[in-house]
Amino acid sequence: MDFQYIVEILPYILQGLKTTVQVFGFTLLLSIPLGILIGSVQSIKMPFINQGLSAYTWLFRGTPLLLQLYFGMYGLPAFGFTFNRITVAILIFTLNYGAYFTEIIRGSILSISKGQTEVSLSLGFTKSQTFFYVIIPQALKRSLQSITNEIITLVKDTSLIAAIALNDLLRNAKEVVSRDFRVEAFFVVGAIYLIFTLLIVDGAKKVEKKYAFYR
Amino acid sequence: MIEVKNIKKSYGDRVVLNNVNLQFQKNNITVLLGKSGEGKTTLFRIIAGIEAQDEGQVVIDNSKTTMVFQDNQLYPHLNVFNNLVLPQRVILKRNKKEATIVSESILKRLNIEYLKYSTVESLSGGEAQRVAIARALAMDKEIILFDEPTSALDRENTANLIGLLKNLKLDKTVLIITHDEEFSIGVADTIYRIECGEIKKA
Repeated sequence: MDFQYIVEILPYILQGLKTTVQVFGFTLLLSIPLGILIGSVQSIKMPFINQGLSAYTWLFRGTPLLLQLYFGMYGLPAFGFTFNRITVAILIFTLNYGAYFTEIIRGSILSISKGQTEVSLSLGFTKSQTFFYVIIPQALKRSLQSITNEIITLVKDTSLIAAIALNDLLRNAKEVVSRDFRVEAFFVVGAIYLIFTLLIVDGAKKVEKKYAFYR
Repeated sequence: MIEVKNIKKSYGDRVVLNNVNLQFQKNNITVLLGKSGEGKTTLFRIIAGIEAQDEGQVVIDNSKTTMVFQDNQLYPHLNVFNNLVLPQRVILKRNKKEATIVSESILKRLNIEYLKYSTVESLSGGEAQRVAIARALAMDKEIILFDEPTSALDRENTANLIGLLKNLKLDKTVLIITHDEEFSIGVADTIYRIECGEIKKA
């Protein structure tokens, strides 16, 4: 390994990391609340609204994320909506991951026993109080591991934004490799992705500990 | 006197409760005795306000009753103390101090102060039931309904429960459904039998 070379290429690769972190961070910040909101609404039985929301999750889970990115970048302008690249990336990623989070949350809510609702009503909680104080806290706890998995997938999926000409971590590394005919850059980004996911796994463990069911 | 009048309830073609009339006295323990599938639980859920009857009338305010479930249904995301505190704070709008005082005195009354910071997961069947009773008591309701309270208890715990229920009737009205004859005789002031959706006084 030629460390001097790595030090040389690192600033450019880290520039890409900035974009990657930006898309990752905003997506996380927006898609989890979106998933909680839609997943909650879907767990209540409301025929028309549910069908519409099912169509949403079906659309975004049923087509490639890459296609969705292309549509956001090149399709939306045809309908008169033009955004800058980073906004498109964050928008599409949020909708896509929101769909996955929706299904996770919905499933967890439905897995909480009906007795929990009944006992709450019998104590005197209203339906919405039951939902916020009893059901949602338990559902979130149950969702934690699946959510962590999705977050790790998100780290790696951010590399797709290169397809709409955003200079993310991986794209910058690839440019370095093409320019210099040397592969060290790939090892560097590989290491950065690994550190990134390690931080997430570590953080998730802390959150899990903090919100442990049984304390 | 608390009254249930002409209650009818069917699920589709199946008549579960057919013209049920029932009276129970304040500060008494009334037991509804019957095999499973005789409509006991349905009647209970109607009295507790969890389910609606097709016809008839329950002459008590739902807001005055609460129910202790067969499987206790404690809140697994909270410890014992917070199982008692959360409903008081949200429903009765008690402040933290009031809720703490009430909870502590009830835990003491049921001899389970030592469980205050225990996790729900760590409780034995008998302990979990006491916590469920404590949580119900903290809500200051007049009438407490018990659904099959002996189903998960051994003899010793059943004897303890009978003692506890007799203590409760000093200031509460207790209604129990069970299939356990021995327990009924040990605890009840009045026993009704329920058969095929109809009530007979024993």
